[in-house]
Order: sequence, then C-alpha cells, then structure tokens
Amino acid sequence: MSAMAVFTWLAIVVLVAGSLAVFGWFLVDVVRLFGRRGRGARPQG
Amino acid sequence: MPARAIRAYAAGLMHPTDLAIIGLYILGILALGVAVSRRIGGFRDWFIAGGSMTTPVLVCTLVSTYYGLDVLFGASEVGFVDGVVGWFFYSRPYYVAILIAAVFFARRLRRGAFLSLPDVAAHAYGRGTQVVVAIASFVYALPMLAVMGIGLVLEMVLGVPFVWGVVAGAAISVVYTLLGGLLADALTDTVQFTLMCVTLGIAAALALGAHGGIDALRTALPASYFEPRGTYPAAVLAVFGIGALSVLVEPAFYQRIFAAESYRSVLVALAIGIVLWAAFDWIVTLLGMTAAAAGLDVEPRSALLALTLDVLPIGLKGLFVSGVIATAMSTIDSYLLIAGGNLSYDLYRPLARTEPGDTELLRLTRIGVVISAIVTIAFALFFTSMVSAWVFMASMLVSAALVPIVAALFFRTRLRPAAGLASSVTGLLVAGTVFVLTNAYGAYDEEWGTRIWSVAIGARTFDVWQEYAVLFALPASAIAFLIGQRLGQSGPPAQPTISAQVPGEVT
Repeated sequence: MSAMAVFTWLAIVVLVAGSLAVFGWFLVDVVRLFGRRGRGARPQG
Repeated sequence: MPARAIRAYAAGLMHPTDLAIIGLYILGILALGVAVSRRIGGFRDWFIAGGSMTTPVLVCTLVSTYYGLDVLFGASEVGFVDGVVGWFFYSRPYYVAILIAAVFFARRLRRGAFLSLPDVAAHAYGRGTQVVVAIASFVYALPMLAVMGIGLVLEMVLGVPFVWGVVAGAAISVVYTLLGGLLADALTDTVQFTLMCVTLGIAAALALGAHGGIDALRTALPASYFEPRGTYPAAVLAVFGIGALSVLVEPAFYQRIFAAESYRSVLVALAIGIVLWAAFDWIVTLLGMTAAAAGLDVEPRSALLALTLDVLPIGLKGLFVSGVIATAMSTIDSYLLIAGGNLSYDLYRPLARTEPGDTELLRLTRIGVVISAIVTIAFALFFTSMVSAWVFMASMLVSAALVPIVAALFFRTRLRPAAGLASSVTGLLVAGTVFVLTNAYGAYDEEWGTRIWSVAIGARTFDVWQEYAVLFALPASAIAFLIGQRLGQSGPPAQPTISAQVPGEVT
C-alpha cells in the first residue's frame, strides 16, 4: 500500500472517529451542564 | 440538463427511505431551533450565545460553518480536474493561517468586550472605519454560494425546481436562526458537523473500494495529478496562499472567538478543527480524483455527488444527501446571523447615532437576518458565476479589513481614526478597481476559469487575473494606513490600544 493510500485511510478514520468523538464530548458536556443545573435547583439546607 | 430531465433523473435516484431520512433531518433541525428559542434572554444571548460556548460546540460550529458546499464541490472539482495540487496549495495555507489566528489573534481579541469584526475597528478607529469594515463584512457574509449550492443539490437529487430549492434552503435556515440565534445555530451545527463528516467518510470508503482504491488511481490518471504543484503558474499558487489571509479577518471566526467560554477553548477547538479540516479536504480532493479515474462524464462540480450517489446503498444515500444539505445549511445560518448583525449592530447603530436597548437590538438584528436572506436569494438567482462572486467578496473583505485590524491588534502606539479609515477605504477602492478593470478589459479564460486582463507595458505583456486584486489592494491599504497615521489627528482619548491591555484579563 502506498503512502498516499495510507494517508487517505488515515484521513477517513480521523474524520469519522474524530467527529463522533467530538459529538460524544458535546453530549457529555450537555449531560454535565444539566446535572449541574439539577443539583443547583435542589432546596438548600 | 433541462429541468424536466433533471426531475426525471431525480425521481429514480432516491428511495422513499432516503426521502424520509432527509425529511426527518429537516424537522429535527427546526425542532432544535424552537427548543433553544426558550433560552434566549437578550441580544448577547442570541448573538454570541452569552459567551458560553464550550470546546466541543466550538469545534462543531467552526468546522461546519467554515466548510460549505463551496469546499465540498470546489475542492472535489480541483481534484477532478487537476489532482492533489488543491490540497497542497489551496487548502494547506489555510491551516497555517488558522494556526496564526488561534495563537496570535484570538488571545488579543478576547481582551476587549467585542461582539463582531467591525466592533474591533470601532474600538480602534471610531465610527468611519467601523462602517466601511461592516459593509465589507456584510457583502462577504451573504451566503450566496451555499444558497445556490443547496438549490442545485435539491434539484439534482429531489427534483425540486432550482428557484424553490434556493428559497426553501434559505427559509429553513432563517427560521431556526431567527428563533434561537447563535446557540441554535451552534447546536444544529453539532448535528450537521457529525452528519457531514461521518457520511463523507463512509461514502469515501465505499467509493474508493468500488473503484479499485487509491493505487488504482495512479494507473488511470496522468502523473501531474499527483504533483503537489500541479500545472499551476507560481504566481497563482502565491495568490492561493495569500487568499488564506482572509481567515485573519473572518467574521464567523471572530464571532466564535467572542462566543467562547475561554481562550483555551478557542485554542483547543481550532487545533482539533485543523486536523478535521485537513482530513475533510484530502478526502474530498481524492473523491474528485476517483471520479476522474472512473471516467464519469459529468460537470466537474457534480463529480463528487455523482460518484457517491452511485455507490451508496438505500438509507445511506438519504443520510449522505442530508449531510450535503447540512453542509450548506450550517454555513447559511451562521453567515445570515453575521450579516444581520452587521446591518443592525455595526451599521444602523453608528449611522443612526443611537444606542438601542437590548430588546430593540434583538428585534432589529432579526429583521437584519430576514433582509440578508432576501438579498442573498436575489443575488443567488441573479448571478451566474458564483466563483467570481466569491473571489470578489473575499477580496473586498481582506482588502478593507486586514491592515486596520492587524494594526489595531498589534500596534502599541496610539492609532489615529484617519489611518483606519484611509486604509479600509483605499483597500476597498483598489480591489474594486482591479475587479472592474479585469471584467471590463479582460477575457474569460476557459482553462483557468477566471477573467484575465493582458496589459502591454513596453515590449512586455503582463497577465492580471481578477484574483490578483488583493496583491494590489493590500500594499495600497498599508501605505494609506501609514499616511493616515502620520497626517491624521488624534481620535477621542478613551480606550487603551488592544495590544496594550493587560494580558491577565484574557479568559
């Protein structure tokens, strides 16, 4: 397999796995944000 | 292809499952806009998402906004016609410019409480330069190419008449942008970003597999397709590189830098973005080359779409078309928001010499978004050559804004309003003049797809491409800046220069 082929398959993997990882990170962020809001909404004391 | 033939072709192309997926995608995007609209408190919430964007949202919105159908179709067109040169000399300089923007510009930009690119000009030079930069930013931000692209895609794959495709694409983007502002735009961008990256990656793997892989390209295509410099003249490659400077005054980048929760988020998001952009560009270029190797008899711009729709199975085809529509819509919504903000915040406010309240500013910007959408649709239906329009828009922005904004961010001396105004107006005028002259006296060159004006000076002839406008405008803008700085009067002594503000204030 040539260097160009390796680079291309690497680009495909980076694009698909990278975008899914970023989307997963975003979902974790959203869950954490709502979690923080939920805890803050509880009556204190 | 006549309209009836296109509709007949489209009718046989998409399975009901594919159509249902596209319909679901559009309904989902609209529902997200409605959901986000309930969280909008005021103009800052709406226009820069309250300055609360986290790193993953920034990655999604930066990558998907900056990459529209012009990249998807344009880069594949270059791959189809010329090979890898597009990636090496057109795309790669952008990654360097983005890195420069992240490391040197973003930190300084976050020192002021700015909302837009013209806001930076207003801070440094006052109202005059703000208005000129706002006009250039408005013209640049009109998403004509994306709107036209979505019209072509809907006509090609769904058989929707071009005019209705253009109107529908713009209208859907306008609805959720009006409702939820930058937050809705950014959240829809996360879905659109994932959709466009994943579907392109899958489509590339299937298309390459179906046509013998990369190594089969070497036997089918001429050697020049694999030359990093291709067959382009050195001057054109230099112009490609200079074109990347537009990143340094890119209104969508600026808006996202201001909307980020911290400088670190911007830095990390742009670093991840560069890797994803590089992968995206390479794959798109390779797909163009694969289409050429497969001998597809299509317009170069349609090569990617024709190749991928040919190999994708039912279901994935609908997902891919949704990804293509997402690529366009994520660009349309972001730039309409910027153009609307330019009209209300950067033009109406200083020209009417008024400081509207938060609610009024929100209302005016929403009206600005609608006006921008109408102007965009009108231009998209009027212009035939969108590539020329794109070159014109980007040249105008760089020529008007680059010198004054770089000076505002990096000069430690007190800046004079005349310097900013002289450099932005001179840049605009010189770039505009080169465009008028190349269009009036030049001829359209089929090989290079641009207008070239051959000027005879003595025994020598010089070819002036319309793309060279920036080469003339930038030095003229810099000279005008120095003259204005030397001869102009001091402005009102109020704010410290951006470069002199305390670095510790940056978040």
